[in-house]
Amino acid sequence: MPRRPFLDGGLPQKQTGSNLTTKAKTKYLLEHSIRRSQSNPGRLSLSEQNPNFPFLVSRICPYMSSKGSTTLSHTIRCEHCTRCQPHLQLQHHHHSAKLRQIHQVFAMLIMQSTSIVKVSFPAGETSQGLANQTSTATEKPARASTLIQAKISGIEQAGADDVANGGQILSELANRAQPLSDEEVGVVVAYLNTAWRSRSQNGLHEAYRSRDLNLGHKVELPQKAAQRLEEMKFLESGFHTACEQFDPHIQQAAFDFVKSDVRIELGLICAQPWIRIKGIKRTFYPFQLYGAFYLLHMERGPRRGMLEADSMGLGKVSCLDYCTTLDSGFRAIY
Amino acid sequence: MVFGPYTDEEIQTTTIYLYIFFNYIIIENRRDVELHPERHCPPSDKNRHGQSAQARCPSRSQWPIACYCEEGSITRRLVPELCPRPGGSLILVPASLLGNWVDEWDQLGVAESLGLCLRVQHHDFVDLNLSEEEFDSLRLRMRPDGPRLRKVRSPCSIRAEQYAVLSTVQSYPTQVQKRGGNRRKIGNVFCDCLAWARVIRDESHLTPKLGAQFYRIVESITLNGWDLPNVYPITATPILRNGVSDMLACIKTVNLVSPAISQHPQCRDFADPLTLDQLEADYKRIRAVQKAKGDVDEEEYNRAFTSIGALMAAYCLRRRNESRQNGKTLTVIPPLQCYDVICPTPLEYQHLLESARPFLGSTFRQEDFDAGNQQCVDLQRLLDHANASATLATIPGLVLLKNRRALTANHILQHGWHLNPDKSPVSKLITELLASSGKLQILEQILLNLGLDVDGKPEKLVVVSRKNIVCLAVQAVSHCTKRSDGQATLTTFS
Repeated sequence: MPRRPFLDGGLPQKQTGSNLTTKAKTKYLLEHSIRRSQSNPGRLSLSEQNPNFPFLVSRICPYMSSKGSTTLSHTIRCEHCTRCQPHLQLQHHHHSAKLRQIHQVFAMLIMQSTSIVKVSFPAGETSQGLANQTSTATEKPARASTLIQAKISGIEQAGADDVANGGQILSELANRAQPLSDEEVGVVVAYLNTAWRSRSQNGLHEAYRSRDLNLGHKVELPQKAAQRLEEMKFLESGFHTACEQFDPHIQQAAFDFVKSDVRIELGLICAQPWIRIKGIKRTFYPFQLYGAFYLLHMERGPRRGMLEADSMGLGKVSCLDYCTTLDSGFRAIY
Repeated sequence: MVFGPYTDEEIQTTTIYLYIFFNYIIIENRRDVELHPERHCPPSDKNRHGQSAQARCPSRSQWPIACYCEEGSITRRLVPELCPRPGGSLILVPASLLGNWVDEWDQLGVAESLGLCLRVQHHDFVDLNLSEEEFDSLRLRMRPDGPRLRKVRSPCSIRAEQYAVLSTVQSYPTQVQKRGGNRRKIGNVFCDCLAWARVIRDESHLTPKLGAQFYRIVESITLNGWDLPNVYPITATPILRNGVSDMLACIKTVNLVSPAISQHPQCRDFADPLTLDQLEADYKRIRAVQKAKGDVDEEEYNRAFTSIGALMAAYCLRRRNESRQNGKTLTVIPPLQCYDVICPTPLEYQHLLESARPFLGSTFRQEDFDAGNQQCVDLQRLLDHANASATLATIPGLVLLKNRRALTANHILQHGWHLNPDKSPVSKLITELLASSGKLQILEQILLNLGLDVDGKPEKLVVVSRKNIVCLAVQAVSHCTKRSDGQATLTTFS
């Protein structure tokens, strides 16, 4: 007999009739589970105290209980509010069209419950089928560690053979006639994540941390400059998401264009320059591929140019190339 | 001392080069499909079954992109969005960055593997200049067609899209327009009659005014009669000192080459130059009021800044290091950290500072000044004096050079010390320089303690100084210092 998880979540008896569709049941549950933040009505949260939380999370993000499946996400874009910023993009794994329906309901509810969030749905079939469509949701920052832990456990469970095969599959990716299977994607992801983890000596959760130089007193930036920075941040904060011009469909197209697989990128813990393009010696970060493809994609449109205004260090061009062409040591610059 | 962000070397690949590469490879791919159909999947036609969705190009492995012959491929499905643009790529960069772009291109290796070449039109890179034959591929040939001149590309075996041409805004008129184009004057502007498909301007914040040379170059290219080029200004700081004014010239240029800009859903509100001027005026007025009164009308402030934000969203591709995509930040850049460091000259070397007076006095005499001879105190000499004094305060041992001219960049370049630092007198005085300078001692301390970073790679130190002689001294110190981890301290000096 199929499991009826809705009954476990406290759904009123009158709503549990067999005539209700899964979509309707999920919608009801989500309507009663998602809460707006009092301090910021534009922010949505799914309380862990909610009795439906475990079920909803397992439905929205089955990744937490399984691994090796396809990662999907919708894009939720803040268009107007200057304060509302998604703290976490939960990545979801769809196993079936049924779950995809649930996902769409969830995204639709977010869209309906607030005017500041816009949800873009996958536009029909993609070249690699439904499994490649994607979805995201905002959540509490605390959930980020949960998601990362889930991915880390995936690394630890990956065998040595998987890791070795991952490199082989990755090197042959561009020449394959058929798309990767879910299992192969999992193997490549495990390979890249393991490689990244082996490079990181200070643990997975730590950002860059410089050693204490013991040179003197650390000083703050001058107040005037700090104010100016704050102003610049304010100016850009409300529209930074829009300025990123990020669209999952274009990203999908960019990966297809260079005969790569976006599912690998969605499974990685940390950004890595893993994308290989035949004929080019260097490897690329996904955002670099996206940026180049985006410019190409928009080239023939009514806007025949853009300001390429990525922050320093994201690889528009080399600013410190003099310093980086050397294998080791340092180099003084005039 | 300021310890700034040092970007990971793996990040230094480039979006713009990839964009140029994509354009080129699409053209090559489609040309190959047309010229050599036997190498590719047969297309669908009305008289037989359509191409299978699973069809794969027989020469698929030779192409870095999904082949155009596969009707289910993204290259085919996104036509006309991915319709290739024939023509060369013009990249205008500051002269100081030419070497960076050339190095970056070499590291991509696309010239050897795919035949996509970079040419540099600048007097410092004569070896990389376009040949006459290569110029021919860019020239537009004018042919009478009724009352007007119709322009077509000159037939040439070498294709224009095969070349990305690197130049500076100063060199372009002399090195490219005069040499390569069928230059002719239209109104007050010279058009160069070269087939540019895209114009890229690096560090575009350096030319915030519409009257700058870069915009005159773009204007001249638009008069060529060829398809209008795509224009991509590149800057990490679209808004710098003057607020929105800094990027308006770029946006007006984009509008200039986009005749259908009013059809763009986000840009149509900014298609009119008067709207942009009004936005700039509003911004300046708010800033003036804020400066005078300390406060501004909140509604007016929000309206203006919302418009500026919408303008950026319409015209900018701007990702930040902390941007989250696909569930993770794009990259992690170390934060900027400032330290207040005291590094005085040791007492036993104070006497060197005493001898600095006659050392400096060779060109600037206090006695002349006292005597009222004001001719000897022009602004330039005063600045030179201040610079030399600051250099000596940093490294008092430089007094032992006995020649003030040795501190100047011209002297260093003339003697080739920047190429052969070991032959400079600075390297012979290293003991005295190090002992007399607190800053060099701090530097030596840092060098000795360099270890491994969080990724297990050797830590690196970048020293930036506008004083050439200080750079020589830094190198001398690094040569006589051994890192604790055994890594080489300095391999090359630029």
